[in-house]
This record gives sequence, C-alpha cells and structure tokens, in this order.
Amino acid sequence: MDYLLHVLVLFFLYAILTTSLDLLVGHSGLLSIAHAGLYGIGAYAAAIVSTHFDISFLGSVAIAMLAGVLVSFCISLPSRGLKGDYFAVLTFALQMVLFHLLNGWDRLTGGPLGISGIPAPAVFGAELDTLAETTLLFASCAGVVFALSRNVATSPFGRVLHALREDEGLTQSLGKHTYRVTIQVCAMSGAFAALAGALYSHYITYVDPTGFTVVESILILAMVILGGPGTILGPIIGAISLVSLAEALRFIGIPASEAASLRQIVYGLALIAIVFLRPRGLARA
Amino acid sequence: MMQVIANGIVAGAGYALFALGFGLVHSTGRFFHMAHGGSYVVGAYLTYVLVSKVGLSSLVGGCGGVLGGAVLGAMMEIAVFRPLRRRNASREGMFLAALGLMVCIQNGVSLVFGDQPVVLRTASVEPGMLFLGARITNVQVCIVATCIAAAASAWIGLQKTNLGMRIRAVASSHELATVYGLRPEAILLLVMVCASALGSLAGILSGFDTDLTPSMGFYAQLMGVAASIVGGIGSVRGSLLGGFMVGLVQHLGVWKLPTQWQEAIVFALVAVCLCIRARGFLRTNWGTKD
Repeated sequence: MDYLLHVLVLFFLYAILTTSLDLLVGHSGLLSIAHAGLYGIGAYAAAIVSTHFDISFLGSVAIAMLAGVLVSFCISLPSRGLKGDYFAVLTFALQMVLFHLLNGWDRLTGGPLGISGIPAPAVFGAELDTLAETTLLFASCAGVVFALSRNVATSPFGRVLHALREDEGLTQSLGKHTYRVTIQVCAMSGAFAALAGALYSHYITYVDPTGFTVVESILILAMVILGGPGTILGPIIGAISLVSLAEALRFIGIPASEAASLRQIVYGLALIAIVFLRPRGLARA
Repeated sequence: MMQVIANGIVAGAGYALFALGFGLVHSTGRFFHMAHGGSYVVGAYLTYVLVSKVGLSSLVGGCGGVLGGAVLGAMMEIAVFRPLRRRNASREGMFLAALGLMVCIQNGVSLVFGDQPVVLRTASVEPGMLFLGARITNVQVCIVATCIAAAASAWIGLQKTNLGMRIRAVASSHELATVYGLRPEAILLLVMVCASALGSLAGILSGFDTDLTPSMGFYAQLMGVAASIVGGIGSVRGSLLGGFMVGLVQHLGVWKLPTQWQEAIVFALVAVCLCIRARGFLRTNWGTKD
C-alpha cells in the first residue's frame, strides 16, 4: 500500500514538472532542456533554507519558488533572438551550468554528497506523518499547478503564447512584446518546476545532484512530447505512462543498471517516434 | 603551467576533431546532430572489441572502428534523418530525433558492455616525453597531429576539390543545388559518412589515451557542441579555434579554480557566446543560410 502511494506521489510530482515544462514546449514553442536544473534549484533552495534556518515548510517552498523564478528569469534573458534549436542548445548549456553549480558548490550544496536531514512537510505546524497525507499534499499542489496552467493557456496571455509559437514575427507585428512574454512564461514555468523540487526534497528528506542531470531534463521532455505538448491533459498522461513504465521494469526482474538503460532507450525511441509522427511541429494546434 | 597548456591543447584537439564533423553536418544538413557522439562511442568500443577480443593490431582495429563509425553514420542518415527531411521536419524535430538517437546508442552500448570503464590501451603506460617542460604521451601527440591533418584535409577537400564545391553548394541551398543537377540526398549521406568517420576517429584516439565508458560519447557531444558554438559552426577554422579554446579554457580555468568548475566554465562560455552571437566568433566561410 505504501508503495502504491509512493508511486502516486511520483505521478503527481512528474505531473507538476511536465505541466510546467509544457507551458514552454507546448504552448510557447520554446524547447527547453534546462527543466531538471530548475527542478534542482527548487529542491536545493528548499533543502538549504530548511536545514540552515528555522523556517516552516510553507516558507521554504515559497523561497524555493522564488529561487526558481529568479533562475528561470536569468535563463530567459539571453533568449532574445535565439529561436528553435538555438534556444534548445542555450538551455542545454545552462542545464550543464546549473548541474555543476549544484554539484560543485560544496560549501552551499554539499557537493556530490548532497544535503540530508531535510524536515518532512508540515502544513501550519501539523506534520504530515502518514504517506496518505503527503500524497494528498502532492495531489493538491499538482491540482493547483494544473488549474493555473490551464487558465494561463486559455487566457489572452496564452493566446499570445500560441501566436508566438506559430510565428514570432507576425506576433510582433500585432504589437505584442514577444520578448517580455517569453520571460514571463519562463518565470512561471520556473516557479512550478521549483515547487516540484521543494516538494521532492521535503518528501525524500535528502537531495543529491544526480537527480537533476541533463538525463532528467530529457526524461521530463520525453514525457511532455510523448503525451502531446500543448494539450491540456497530454503532459500528465506522458508523466503517468513513463513513471509507470519505470516502475513496471522493476518488477520483471531485470538488474537495476540494465533496467535504467532499457528505460532510457524507450525514452529515446519515444522521442524519435514522435518526431516521425509530427515532424512539422510538436504541438497539436 | 606548460603542462596545463599542453593538456588543454590535447583535449582541445579531440574536441576540434569532434566539432569538425559536427559542424560539417550542421552546415549541410542544417540541424544539430546531437547523435554525433554515437559514432564516437561506437567507434571506440568497436576498436576495443577488435583489438582486445579479436586480437587485431591497434592500427587495423582503429581502421575497423572508423569504418564502423562511418557505417553507423550512414545508418542514422538513411533510417532517421533522410526520412525526416523528406517529411519536412522542423529543425527542432531533427534536434530531438538526434537527441533520442544519442540516448539510445549510449544506453545500447551500456547494455552490451556494462557501465564499468574498459581499457583499450595495449601497451603499458609510459611516462611520455618532455616537450617544453610538459609531459606528452605518444598517443597525445597522435591526437594533435590527427586533428591538424584532418582539419587540413577537410579544408583542402572542401575548398579545392570538385566534390567539396558540390558539398558547399548543397550547404548553401538544397533547392539551388537540385536545380543545378546535384543530388543533395547523396551529398548529405556522404557528408554524414565522412563526419561520422571523423567522430569515431576522435573517440578511438581518446580511447587509446584514457578509458572507455558508455557515457564518453555524450561527454564528447557536450564538449564538441560547446566547441562548435564557441568557434562558430560551419567552418573548419571555427571548429579548430573553438576546440582549442574550449580545451584551454577548461584546463586553464582549473589551474586557478577548483576542478569541479571545469565544465561549468565551458558551458557558461557557451551561453555567453550564444548570447553575443548565435554563430560563434567566426563568420561561416561557406555561405550557409537558414
């Protein structure tokens, strides 16, 4: 039973990550490979403030989200004039920088050893001591992120994003400030990714840099692309299917290292297959 | 100090060799060939099998590895990139498909050979010779020499031969090249084969210098992309300059800063270069356009 709840928590965690990445990949046509970096920034920000300062769970989540907004803002600043695959390469490079920041800055992040002893989530002083309560917390956060993202996607702001995805020049000619919109959507997406990170580090109570590599970025991207970028439910379906696949591979008795390789081959094949199916654009308009 | 510079130049030569092929594919095929590291790792492991398991000499094994890398490149082009091009895939699409291929190849290698490093080196480790106060092994001299020879022959091949002119024509415009009776698909296949041969050569040489791990291709891919961006994609000069710059920055940075910042510096440099100019420091001399 605990195991099933744990898998549910993972579903909700990845649902937050994919929904937030979809704001960029699906709705705005910005192919970002730095999402795991932002996720890591959130996780570490929460871990650092809650182990060094006497700060409540909600406070550390808020600080983590603020950190995510700030870093994501900085990432999006150089994006002016970098479109398509050049944006992807830029985020690729920044993902590497973020990972090495987490991995290398040992005074602050503990280096490869990570940070342990992060307090478990507690809402208004009441510690969530059963897994079911934690699952509920993750579910409600995922619900909020989902509702907010859906509102954004269907709002006038979302329509500007869609226009930006289809044709940046035309959007500018209609008087829309595409650079500002890009920065805004990146900041929003960064906040949600950092939220996922903060929840994760309070849930596991331990963070180390290996969870926030470029491979993790590719995994989140594969989930979004497999589920269907730009659709409301697609990214969540992608998250559920790839998390289930990872868990299912545990049960068929393959050694852990081989299972990891097999899983990644499936992600790779999924990416190729989807490009074959929708070569012109990934989002389903 | 000299040792640091020598290490930077050797590493840079490897990156430049990788970036040369990567840049060739980018200029002609107009996409980021994120699976270029696939030929790198497969070439190196194939050489390992030929030398350590079959018992061939290093030279023959290396040639076999290059051949294998080239065949892998041809397979990627025929099975993935050509069909995608025919479907008018977007550049992002090509990028993603190549990234997917890279993930598959790396994990395929890891399934077959395991994640533990394997050793290709046949001779015992020698202290290397002293050159201007820096110790350099024969393999490292060989890497630098191969890089310069490959760059020179790529430059001559592209600028001075008829085939090179055709490649440049395709790089300049697929449509115009077709109008003039060239077959872009055949040229692109040829470019992919040559580029993959260069990529696997880089992998094999680095395999003789250090150990082999399945992730070596991905690492080379990262550094090669960095070199291309820093130097400027699409010119032989740019690949060389970028490769050596990345190698030197990486090693000189470590001289002053703790080692864990080695790659962070390189990628920060890449991000800065992308911001300043998406094309890198040097303008392409092939007249490519998007």
